Amino acid sequence: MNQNKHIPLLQVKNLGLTIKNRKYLFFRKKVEILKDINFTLEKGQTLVLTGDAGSGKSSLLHILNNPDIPHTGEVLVYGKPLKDYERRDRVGFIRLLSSDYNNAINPHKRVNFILEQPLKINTDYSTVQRDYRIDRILEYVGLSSSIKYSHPGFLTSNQMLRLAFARALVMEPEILLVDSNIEKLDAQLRSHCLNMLLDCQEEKETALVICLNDIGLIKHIADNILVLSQGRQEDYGNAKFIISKPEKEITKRLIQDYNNEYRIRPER
Amino acid sequence: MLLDIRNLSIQLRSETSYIQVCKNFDLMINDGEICSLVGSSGSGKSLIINAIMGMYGHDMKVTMDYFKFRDMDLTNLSVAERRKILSSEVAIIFQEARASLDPELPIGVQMRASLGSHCFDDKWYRWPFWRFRAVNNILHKVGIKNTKQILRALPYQLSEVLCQKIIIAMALSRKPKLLIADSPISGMTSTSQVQILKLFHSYVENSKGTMLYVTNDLGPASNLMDTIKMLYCGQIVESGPKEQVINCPHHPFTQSMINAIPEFNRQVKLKMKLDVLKGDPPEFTQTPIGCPLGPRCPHADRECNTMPPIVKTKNGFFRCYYPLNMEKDNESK
Ligand code: SF4
Repeated sequence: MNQNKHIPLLQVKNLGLTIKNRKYLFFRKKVEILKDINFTLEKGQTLVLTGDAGSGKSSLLHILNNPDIPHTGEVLVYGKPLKDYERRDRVGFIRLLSSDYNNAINPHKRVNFILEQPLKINTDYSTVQRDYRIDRILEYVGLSSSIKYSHPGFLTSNQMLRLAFARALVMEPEILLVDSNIEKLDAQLRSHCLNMLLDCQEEKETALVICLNDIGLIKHIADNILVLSQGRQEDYGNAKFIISKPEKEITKRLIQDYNNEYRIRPER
Repeated sequence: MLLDIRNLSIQLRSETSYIQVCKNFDLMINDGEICSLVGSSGSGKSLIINAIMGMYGHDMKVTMDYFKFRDMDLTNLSVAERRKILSSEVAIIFQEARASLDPELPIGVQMRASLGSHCFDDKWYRWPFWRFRAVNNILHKVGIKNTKQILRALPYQLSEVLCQKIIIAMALSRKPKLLIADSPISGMTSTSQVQILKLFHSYVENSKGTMLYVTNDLGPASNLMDTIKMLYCGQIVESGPKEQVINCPHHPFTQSMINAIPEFNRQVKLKMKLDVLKGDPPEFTQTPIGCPLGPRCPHADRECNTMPPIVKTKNGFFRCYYPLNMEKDNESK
């Protein structure tokens, strides 16, 4: 009977995060960073996290990336808590793509090392198998395999972005977490990055969780949207529906602020 | 005219020779205008700012034919002298906010130190503690509420966005004649973006300021700008008033920058691929002969192997052999 029930890829139930703020000798203060977050994510879908600064978007992303961070509530992958999986299985499910490639990639190591290390730690592949995998992934993101023996400092910005993608995709994850640095890239590179994400989603049915502030981009890529405010879940549902008919105060404000007078659109 | 620079050229020193990074760069900013430089990363935007302000060492060689700021002719002065004159009248907002704050001093001390006594404009009996009040006021304006905590904090305790806001507050509190902003609102939420843009607007309107707005994205602040200059490989490829550049771009690079924003393109459907220029922007060592956009341009032809001449339009110019949207231009005439 259980088998008939549909099990979602990722399910988050009542997720909460509280930190203790210590000051002086006896002064303790509890700060609730996240409280009661619930959402589900299916294969090949995109969930966008949005909200004000300091509303807990990136904390949520970090908890999904590393469940060892002490939190309350549950993160279920295929109906089983993520904590209960072995570490080497876990990295196969969820990977973080850091689009701030200049700071996220170690400039002292060669490309080969950067891509090989996750495979070495998390799989039992032999050297030949690892090599094959690296070649395949470089081909997939559109880099030539001769690049393997150069340092990241010699790559252009476009190639660095592709390398960041390659590193996120070597373990063939089913869920890709993307941080909000994607908005800091310039317009050309950002479109490139979005194109690659969409490609990846189309071909491998990867589910995406993205932090974004720009409503224009959200409209373009999101299936579902989760609006956070001071750690509370304010709004969750279909992106198109929510953006066209916002009901909560915070969503209304975000959309209104986005459509400000300093943004003109070309007449076509 | 506030700032007038003609024929700026920048060379960077490499191990063997000098590399030409930017040449034939003209910049003219009128009083009370917001001029914007838009270019992708690595097109030399920050280098140009450094060259204008005289912030460079021996690894950079800058020559220019003419440099005038307000009524002063600064062409023949040395770099140090020029910097001395400019530093009291120009404020800059740098790209990496946290890196431009002193890591060892509390924010409050730094902000008070940046306020010279010429910034004081009030009744004489309000002199005591005016710096504290001024700092508080300007922080409220950029949208920081708990000022007490922030003023005591060190830069590493604050987020990047907060540091950005503090730098903007510091720059505006000095009431400069010219404000140079290098991607000031990147990475912010739309609420704070509006707040900051409103502040810039009121600075230009009310305190008669002038701005040079440097950015890599046409989207968020396009209506704030008066003139737009598109920069590619250290060269201005298109220039003109904002309506003209955004509504009928003539240069393929401008068109691609506009197409990269999903909202600006009506034909884009949900989750459709955005069209981008193929390939990378070239490095300065390997700039192609002729049109710098050549290898990436979808409209390129044999003629593009030579440098395209400047074609004048109504209020601006562009450099291209095969311009787009020319019919629209004729219609409006
Ligand atoms: S001159 Fe030629 S290569 Fe350059 S932008 Fe125009 S069409 Fe493209």
